[in-house]
Amino acid sequence: MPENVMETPIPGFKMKLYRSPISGDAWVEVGGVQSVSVDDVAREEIEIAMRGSEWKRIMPGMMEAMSATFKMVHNIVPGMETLIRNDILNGTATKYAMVNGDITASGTEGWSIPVYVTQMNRSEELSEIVANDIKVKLGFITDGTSLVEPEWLTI
Amino acid sequence: MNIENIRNRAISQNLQTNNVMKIRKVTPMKLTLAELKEVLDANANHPKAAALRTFYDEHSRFLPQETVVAVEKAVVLGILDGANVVEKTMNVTPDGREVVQTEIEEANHDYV
Repeated sequence: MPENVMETPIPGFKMKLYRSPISGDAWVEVGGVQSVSVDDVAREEIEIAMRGSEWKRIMPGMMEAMSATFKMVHNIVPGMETLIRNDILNGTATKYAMVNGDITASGTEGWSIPVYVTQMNRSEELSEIVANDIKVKLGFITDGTSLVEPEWLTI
Repeated sequence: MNIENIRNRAISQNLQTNNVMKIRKVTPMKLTLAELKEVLDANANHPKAAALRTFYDEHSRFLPQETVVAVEKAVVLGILDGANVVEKTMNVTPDGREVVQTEIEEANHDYV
């Protein structure tokens, strides 16, 4: 018998990606999404080396500007594609949630980050489905009174 | 009394030193854009309705009315019942992070 309580692993295709305006939660699933990657969840290392010890050591520094990249098939949900294209063209702040299931299902959890869209590249290979490579990155975004921080959502 | 004082100091110190990540407990419900419009029309003056109206207007331009939206239950009920919708810090996890949950205050029309 395993010593730890074990849960069922989740394959990538069962994960969900949602987009919402900053003010309030109104999550719409981003359709036509292939792979998603949550990146730069990392803390800066400040190195300390001094006499009296042979070990270099680190202290925790600042958190990096976390980001997410995802591949969205072109023209499956053209309306959502237009909204995201407008986000990058207008520099609009939005929130993205990368969660491990339906956002209304009890037990679902994952990151929610306030972002700007920083890339929306499109590859048009001869023998591949046309898809957008989209990157969103933690932005300096306020809700009118305070900075909006990354959150861990639990349903 | 003294124990409570120490406990409160411990919690506030934790909140100050561990505020990199907030855990937010949410309970969204699904409704279509068309249904969302009905909710907003039911109580257009509710403070929470303004942002959702902007959301509805923008998304209706590009997405069909059958598009499913997940909106916080407390917000939907708050708008429909004319109640205040407030975010409350419910408790603090053992490692000092706050858990925030949206709740409806006692139904009244004194929006805050």
